Amino acid sequence: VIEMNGGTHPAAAIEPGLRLVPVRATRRPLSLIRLALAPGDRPLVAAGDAVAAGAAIAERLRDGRTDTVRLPSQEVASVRPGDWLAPMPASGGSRIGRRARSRSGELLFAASGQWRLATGDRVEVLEAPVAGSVAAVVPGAWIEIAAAGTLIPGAELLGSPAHGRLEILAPASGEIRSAAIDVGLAGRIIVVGARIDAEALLRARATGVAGVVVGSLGARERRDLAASERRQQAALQAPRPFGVLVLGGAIRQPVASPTESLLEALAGGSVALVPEPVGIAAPGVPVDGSALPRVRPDLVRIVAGPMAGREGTWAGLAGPRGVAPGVVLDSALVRIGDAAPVAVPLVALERFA
Amino acid sequence: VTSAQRRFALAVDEGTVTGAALLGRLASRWRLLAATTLAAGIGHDAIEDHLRDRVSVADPALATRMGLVPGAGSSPSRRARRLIRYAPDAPLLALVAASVRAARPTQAIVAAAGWRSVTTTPDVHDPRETTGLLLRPDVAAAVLAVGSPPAADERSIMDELVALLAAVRRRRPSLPLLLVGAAASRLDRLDPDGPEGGAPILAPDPVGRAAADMRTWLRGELASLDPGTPARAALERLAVEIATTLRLRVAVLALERAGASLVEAAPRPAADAVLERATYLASRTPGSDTRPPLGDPAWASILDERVLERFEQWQAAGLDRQRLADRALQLTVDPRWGSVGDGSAIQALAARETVARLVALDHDEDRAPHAPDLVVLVGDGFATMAPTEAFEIVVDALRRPGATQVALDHAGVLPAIASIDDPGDRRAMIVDLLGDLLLPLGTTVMVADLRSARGHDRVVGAADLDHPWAARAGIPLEGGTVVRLDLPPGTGGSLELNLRRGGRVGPRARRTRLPVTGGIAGLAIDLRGAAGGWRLGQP
Repeated sequence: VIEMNGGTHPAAAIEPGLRLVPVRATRRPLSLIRLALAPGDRPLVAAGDAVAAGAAIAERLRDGRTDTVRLPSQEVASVRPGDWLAPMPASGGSRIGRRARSRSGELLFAASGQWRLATGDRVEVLEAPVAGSVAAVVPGAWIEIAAAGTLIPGAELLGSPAHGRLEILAPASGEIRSAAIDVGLAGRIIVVGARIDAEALLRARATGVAGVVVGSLGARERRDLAASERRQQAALQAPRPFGVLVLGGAIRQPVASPTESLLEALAGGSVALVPEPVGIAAPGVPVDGSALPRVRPDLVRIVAGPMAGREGTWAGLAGPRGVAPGVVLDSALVRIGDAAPVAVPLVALERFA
Repeated sequence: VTSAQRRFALAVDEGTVTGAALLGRLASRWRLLAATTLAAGIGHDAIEDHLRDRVSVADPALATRMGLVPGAGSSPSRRARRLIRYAPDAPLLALVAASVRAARPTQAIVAAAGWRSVTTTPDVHDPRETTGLLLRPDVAAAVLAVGSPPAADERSIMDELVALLAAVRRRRPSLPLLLVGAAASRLDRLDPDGPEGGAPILAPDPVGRAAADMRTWLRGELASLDPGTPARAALERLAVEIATTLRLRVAVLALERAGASLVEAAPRPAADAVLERATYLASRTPGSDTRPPLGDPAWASILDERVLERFEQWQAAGLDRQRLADRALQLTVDPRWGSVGDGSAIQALAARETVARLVALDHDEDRAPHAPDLVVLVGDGFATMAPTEAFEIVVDALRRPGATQVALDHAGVLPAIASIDDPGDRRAMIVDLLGDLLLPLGTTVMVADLRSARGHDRVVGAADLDHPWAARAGIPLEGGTVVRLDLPPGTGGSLELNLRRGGRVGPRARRTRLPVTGGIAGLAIDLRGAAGGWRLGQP
């Protein structure tokens, strides 16, 4: 009997050959989410604080730099690297102290009698992508938020963490054009199918879409997105959070059907794109609850070769087969649709849980 | 040790893909019974059951004679002895250098030790960025490098960098620190005893060692901090055991999840072979050693344009730069995509690039290495690659004058067997299994120092091949080319080179006779000129 999402699947026993196919987790329990900070970013929360989705948890520097400050002698002994130097009211303290306290930032280290201060003039707010409680705050490094729910793992999150209502615009193997994106999608996390071009991606950002979930993203689109990110950072106004979650890699492949089913089940609800662990977080949705569909244990997906991205059902081991001159690999039979089973190397298969 | 464990062993080498073999004692000798290549992350019990079934189906009489019980992999009392080797991902090092000058030699040492690294220098990065790097959770150790003696610009910045590291140590005591060059003189300012449970701060003693000693020291310390050291030690043992067994100068070239390795051992008269050199490189897929962290706006630059340019030159598929970039990126994100089909062609390009970088890293102007008698290809990078492709990579990348036989660990388990701790046990198994596990690919002969051919007459000599099945006389040798000859596996022969325009294959002589052995890729006579004078990518 195999465990499926905490319960048992009616198919009961797993076919022995399937044990030779690696399992890809389509969902995991959500626990800790880590959000990166850089020195000079100012945490606005402390461990144990409760946060709501969208609450400001830190101010991130957009133009970080290092300044030097001379602290009053009576304060030197009491400060430590990582402490936050807050501005002081102009009337209090000594002249040196007042000058030092005209700025704020994170104290890095002291050298030659002066402290180095990570600071900047422009900040953007880092929002909590999910509701939960702050588990840890490490200045200059990260904030961890503990939250309960379900995580759908992804491969990469490009850009910022984001949250919003999930909306599916294209099927697993589909693709959308920029005309399909308008301001009506502002604040949403949109699922755009197997691929998205750079124009549509940038339009999504421009119209206020919070995040994009896509099966794959090519190198050119990544470059364009990075250039857009740099332009946003250079602008006077702080950019809205925008993240692109890539479920696969860079070549076009449809979204795996179990993942698509999960996204369909979550559509309309509030989700978040989170960077570590990378994925789509669905807070409050139990990972083993009945709201989420189960996966057929004999469903397999081809991850390499001419049929990469296709899915089918397991039809047994096929023995060693030649796949290239001088290369013989253990293979399995996979039934795709109504066609006769085809032999696929075991190394190019995955199943789901 | 159970009776089953004395008779059977399951060797598993885990990487991007897993090489596994069931070994059994037959007539007092270890023999290969069955082998397979699977994806990573498969349970060892399932692998053993599968291999037992394979033997039972292929040769029921042998299975019965050996007492091979199908399905015994899940039974602790009946399962085979397990020889498991796992090479973890290469760790990441933060190199904080006082200047670009101080960074370069240290970067080379760190790279050859198999670490990934990110370098900061004060003229490029401000203290905020350097502190941020050192606080990153994926950074496993930090090096502070200052020239010895320090240059004027380094002297002025050294104390500031030491203060920065001291502050980071207070915030992150678990980060090991290594001090290189003049930085070692500031050890006392970094609180070497540190907080309880803190990581060590390491500096060579005495200060001001010669460069070679510094290299040895730093590599030793990095090895002590590297979780992949036991896996690499297995490669070193493997090279020594094969060199001892075959009495040959042996190089083990590994392409694995953690990176690439070139380990060489040479036999000694009436004694065990000794390890001569070992060079490691952290990545095997383009960009994976320099990939920036998530959330960093630099993520679009993960593929180096120069790497893509070389891919474009080497590829046979005629893909444009954009498609190549997508495919190379796909391989970086999902290395298993390179196991079959289109992906395997990209993986072969990545392997070629990695081996070229590894050999360049290994290159030492002062100590030109001998051509090994035998190169053994191991690791998951070769597991799904066409053997002839693997042979071509060696011919193109490992360009040392002389004759070198190339063989492939076709079951992908020799490193796992070499991970056995007991020396006698390890040697016994390797001696027994070498014949079963090494697949001869062919021989490559490289001629160096050929004078450049002018005009239309590019013929630089002739060759005679003496072989029972493939004898040929008067084979013309044309400068700037690679002459390919069929040479069937199983039998050795000899090749006599008559060179007219200088050239050497080992000792300088006009007529040279070399032993050559066959293989599925045959014989390659490389006449492209001096080693180093030809670059990968040139026709």
